[in-house]
Amino acid sequence: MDAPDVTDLDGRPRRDEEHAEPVTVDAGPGRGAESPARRPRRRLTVSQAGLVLAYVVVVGFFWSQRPDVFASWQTWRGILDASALPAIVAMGLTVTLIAGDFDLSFGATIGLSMAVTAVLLSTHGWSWPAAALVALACALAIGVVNGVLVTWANVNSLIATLAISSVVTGLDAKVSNQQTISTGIPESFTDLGTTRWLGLGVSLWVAIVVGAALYLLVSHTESGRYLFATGGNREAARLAGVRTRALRTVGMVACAVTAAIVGVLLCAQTASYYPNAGGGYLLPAFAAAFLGTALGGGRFGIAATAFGVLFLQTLQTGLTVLNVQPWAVSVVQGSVLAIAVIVSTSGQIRLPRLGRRRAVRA
Amino acid sequence: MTGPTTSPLEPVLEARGLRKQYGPLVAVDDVDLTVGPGEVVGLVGKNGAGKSSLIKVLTGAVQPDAGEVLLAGEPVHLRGPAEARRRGVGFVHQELNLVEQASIAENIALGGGLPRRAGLLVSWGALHQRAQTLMEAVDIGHLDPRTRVATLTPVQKRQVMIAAALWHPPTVLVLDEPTASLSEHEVVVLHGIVRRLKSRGTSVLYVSHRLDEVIGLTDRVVVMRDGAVVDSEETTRLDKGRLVAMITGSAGQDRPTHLRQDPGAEIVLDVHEVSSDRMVEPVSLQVRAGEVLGLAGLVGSGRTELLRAIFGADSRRTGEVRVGGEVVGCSPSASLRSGIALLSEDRLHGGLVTGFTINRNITFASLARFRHARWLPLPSGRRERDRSRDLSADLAVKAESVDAPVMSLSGGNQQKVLLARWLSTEPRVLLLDEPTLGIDIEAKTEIYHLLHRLAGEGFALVVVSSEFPELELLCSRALVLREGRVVAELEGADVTETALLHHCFDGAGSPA
Repeated sequence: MDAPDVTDLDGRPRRDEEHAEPVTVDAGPGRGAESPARRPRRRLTVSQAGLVLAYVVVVGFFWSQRPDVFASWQTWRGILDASALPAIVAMGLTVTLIAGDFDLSFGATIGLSMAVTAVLLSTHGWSWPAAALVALACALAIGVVNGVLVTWANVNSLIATLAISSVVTGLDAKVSNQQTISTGIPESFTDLGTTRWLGLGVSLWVAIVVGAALYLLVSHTESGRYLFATGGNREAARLAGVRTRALRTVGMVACAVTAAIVGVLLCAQTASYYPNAGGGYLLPAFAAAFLGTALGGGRFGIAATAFGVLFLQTLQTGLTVLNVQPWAVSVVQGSVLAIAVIVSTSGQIRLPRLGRRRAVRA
Repeated sequence: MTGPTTSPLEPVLEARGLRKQYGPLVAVDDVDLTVGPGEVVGLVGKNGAGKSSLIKVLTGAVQPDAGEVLLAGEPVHLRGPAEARRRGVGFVHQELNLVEQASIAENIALGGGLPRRAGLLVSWGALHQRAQTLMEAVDIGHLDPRTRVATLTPVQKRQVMIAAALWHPPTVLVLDEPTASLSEHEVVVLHGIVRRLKSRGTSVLYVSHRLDEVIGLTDRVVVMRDGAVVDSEETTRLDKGRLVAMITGSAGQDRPTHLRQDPGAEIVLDVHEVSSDRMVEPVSLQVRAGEVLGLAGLVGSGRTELLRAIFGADSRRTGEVRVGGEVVGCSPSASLRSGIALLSEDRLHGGLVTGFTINRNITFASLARFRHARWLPLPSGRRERDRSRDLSADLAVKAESVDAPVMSLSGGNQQKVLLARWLSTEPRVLLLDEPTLGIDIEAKTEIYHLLHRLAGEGFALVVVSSEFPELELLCSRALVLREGRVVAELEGADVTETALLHHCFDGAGSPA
């Protein structure tokens, strides 16, 4: 995973790059020729390096305790498979967070889209692509409603999405009659939960595709730049002609649609619908996104969030393998998150001072 | 220059050699000040002369770097506004900072601690009784102390704030621009309150831009300029003309050579009867190619609101804006497409994206110009950097690299980055709101020369500034706004600091 890349969007001071002289001198067209890449090298900050290091230490610890388990590809495939769904929705949430808003409704959206899919498949005998499309359309509508409430009606996003969460939970209960649905779901659909391409599950491939698409959107398009600007300084973005309301709505829609993707895939994986399926995704997604900020130098990023999911899932799997009690797993994960966020917000001490001195000597 | 006039009795409030520095900027420069018992002292000066900074030190909001504050002849160390209040220094902010949803009584007691019953429960009866007494002292005794503040008129809110300052009976009350947003009639109400306080022996330090009321209300006037007290005079010996001269500093200041030039003939920006919800009345103006139009006025005179309405940052209630004859839609994006750019007053709030690099701050408003291919909305980092480097070099941005974080720059260089952002949108009209606010002399001079050059290249510029010498320096024409209305238009050699000030302050004195 090319995690440090996400810091690209608005990096730290990059004093170790080639163009150390003042811009006023540097502006001549000839200069660029000396460094054809022209792309400044990045420096790792304490928190960035710290998080990667922490991951290596965690993995090393688990490995030393249970080499038999952690040397096995099966274990790692299990971690990746378990990361897929949380990663999809956490990356969608990241888009919302980048635009400066919160979304507390995606847990409910996961539940509703799962219910819609299951009911259309089992009760109405629809084909699964049609059922999935309806679920995605519902999520789109939820995202737009969230966006309208937050941007046009100026409701605080925490409150608006909390309210919508309640509405969506109600709709979920209506659609599903609050019954577990486990019959009549066609095999062609549940195969999605078991099929592997090149050794990886369908969900993981979906996560990779969604992640790549969101990464491109956020880090390489004009809209992505505007998203960051909107989250960073909304008034400045507006005065620069950015349609901040539309963009914030896009952020809300991104989160809702990824939630629906998770709902559909969850329905396929479990070959069923069961109540309260989505709630468990809410906090881990926020945790992963904020853990990712430790990697992104205090900023959200798609790849950083994916890394955050992987980190938390590795901890979970590792601790489970070591027979740690579930309560302790929660305590450890929570502590790791708190420490990481503290380090990322206060850790302005930058490692590469060392690197710089070395460079001078060389 | 007259030395500080001392009052016959021992002063209730005294400052000796007060000094406050923010980085290289000396906000309060060795200030000596006395306020005698029952004396009403006016504190006047231009925007940025140091009045607010001085008040902050006197009321304990900030700590002085040197000097001391004495209360009743005794040196005190005020650790915060609460302690200042307890020791008898009351303070009424310029801004209306009340809790709108709370009652009058709750607001009055906000800073003072609610009366308790058995040390625990709020005694509402005692609170309302106490509030009622204070409300009578400020002429709002006819209101119910349970009334929500949100339902009050501006002057009533001001009265509530004064009542709150009386909660701990002050020996000296500092009023910072209490009449700034009030109508003539309401001003009279406020003056009555001040006179009553005085008659009861309370001293008042009265900060105001309205010279009429300073002359009518105060016993003595203290004038500040560039952080220092430059004059202190019995009010009876003053008239408005004299006061304007004292505020301006008639003594010769070194003026840079004039950077004015004759505008072209073509009207680029045509603003017709534009108003917004934040403006008092519609305003029309025209700006020609190569013209620098100044908008003068005191803080709160509606200059910023006018620029925002022209740019479409606030939605317009009436009127239309044309650039080169074409009507411009009312939104920032429409304005930018038509070639209008707005450099906003507040670099942080409406300007810099603090998380971005210099490069990304520059290219951010014109990102579509840097695509890899015209049909693909993917910005090319190489093209962005090329453009940023060119503009940075052109505007002499002093930075290690365009990839440095924008917050690593000094204020002047941040301002140049923002100018570069708007120039990168290739505008025809630049609206500049306080373009030199809070930046050092050197950067100011660079910005003057840049604006002069841009005008020479045919840009139409509108400059809002509280520093009238710079309007005198740059503008071939200037409009003066007062309380939301255009009260004067000056042209050519008539655009002088003295004339601008004269029109800002109620048309007082005689322009030199």
